[in-house]
Amino acid sequence: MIADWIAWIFYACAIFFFAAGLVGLLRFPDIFSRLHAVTKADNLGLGFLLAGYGVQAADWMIGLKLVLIWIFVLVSSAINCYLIASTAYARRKEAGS
Amino acid sequence: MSGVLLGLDLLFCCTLILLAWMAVRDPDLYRAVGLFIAFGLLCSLCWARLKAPDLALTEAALGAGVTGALFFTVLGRISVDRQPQRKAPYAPAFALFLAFALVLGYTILRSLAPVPEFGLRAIALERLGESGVRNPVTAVLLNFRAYDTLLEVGVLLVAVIGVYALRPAGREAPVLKLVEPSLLKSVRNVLSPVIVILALWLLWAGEYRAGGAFQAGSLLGAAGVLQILCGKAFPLGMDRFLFRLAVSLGFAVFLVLGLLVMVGEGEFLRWTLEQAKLLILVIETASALSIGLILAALYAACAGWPGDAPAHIPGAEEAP
Repeated sequence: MIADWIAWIFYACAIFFFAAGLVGLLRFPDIFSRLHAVTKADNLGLGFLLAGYGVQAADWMIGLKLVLIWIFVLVSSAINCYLIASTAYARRKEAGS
Repeated sequence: MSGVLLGLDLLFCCTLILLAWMAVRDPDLYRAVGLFIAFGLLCSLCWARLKAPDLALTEAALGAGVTGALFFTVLGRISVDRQPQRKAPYAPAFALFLAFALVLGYTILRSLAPVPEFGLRAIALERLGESGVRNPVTAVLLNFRAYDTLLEVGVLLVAVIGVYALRPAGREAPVLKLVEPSLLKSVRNVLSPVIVILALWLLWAGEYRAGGAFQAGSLLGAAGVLQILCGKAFPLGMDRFLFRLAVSLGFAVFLVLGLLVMVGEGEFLRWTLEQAKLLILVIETASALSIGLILAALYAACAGWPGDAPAHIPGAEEAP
C-alpha cells in the first residue's frame, strides 16, 4: 500500500523531530534555547505523527479530528512556552537589578 | 505483533515504577512534582492499554492535570529551599522498596493466576439492559452502585466545605499575579467555549461510551482554573448563595431523586427502567456542574489570598 509507505515516511520525520527536541532539551545551556528546541520539535514532531495517522485513517472525519488535535496542541504549547519564558525573563531581570 | 505489545507493556510497567520511585525520592520538590505529573500521564496510558478509557480520561484530567496544578500552586506559595537537602541513606530505603514491590508483585501474581474470570464484570454486562444506559461503566456508577457514587459526590462537597471553613477570616477573592496575562486571556476566550462544548459532549457520550459526570466536571474545572489564572476572582467572587447552591447541586439532586423514587413501592436510588435514562442524565448534569465548580474552588483556595505571608515548611530552613 502506497499510503502506508507515505505514513512511514511521516513517522520517520516525527521520530527525527522528537529525538532532536529531546537532545536539545538535554544539551542546550539555558531555559530559552531549551524551550525553543522542545516546542519546535513537539509541534513539528506531533504534526508529522498526526499526518501519518491521517494518511492511514479510514475516513476523512478522523483526519479532521487529528488536525483539530494538532491545532489545540499548537495553541497550548505556544502559550505554555510563552508563559514559562516570560516568567523566567522577569525573574532574571529581577535578580539582575 | 504481540511481542511488540508485550515489550511496550513491560516498558510501561518499568517506567511507571521508576517514575514513582524518582518522584518520591527527588529532593527538589519542583522536579518531584514534574515527575509526579509524568507518572499520572503514563498511568493514564496504562489504563488505556488495559482498555479502560473512562479511567484513562479521569486519571489524565484529575491525576495529572488538576493535582499537578494544585501541587505547583502550593509550591509557588510556600518558600521552599530549592537547594537539595541532606540526603537520606539511599541503599536501605531502596532495598526495602524493592523487597516490598517484589512481595506485593508475587502475591498479586499468585492470587490472580488461577482465577479465569473474577469480579462482577459478567453480571454487570448481562444486566446492562436493565440499567437504561448502554455504557457498562455508567450503568455501574449511576445505577447498580449509585450509592457509592452518591457518596463520592458527597465527599467532594465535604472537602470543599472543609477547605473553605479553614480559610483566613476576612479575606475574599484571591487574585493571582501573572507576569503578562493578556495572552492567556485571549487563549481563555478561544478555549473556554471549546472546553464547555467538549464537557457537554462527554456528559452526553457517557450514556453509550467513555465519558460522564466526572470527566465533564474535570473539564469544567479546567475552564475555571483558566479563569483564575487570568486574574478573575472565580469562583470566590460569585454571589455567595449562588456559589453554595451550585457547589451542592450535584449531591442535592442525586439525593432528592434517590429519595423521590421511594414514593410508593420503590427503594432508595433504585430507578425503574423507564425513569433510568432521564434520571441518570439529570444527575450527571448536576454533578458535572458541581464537580467542575468544586475543583475550581479548591484550586482558588490553594492559589491563596493576597497579602498572606508565605507559609513555611517546617524544617525547610534548617537545611545548610
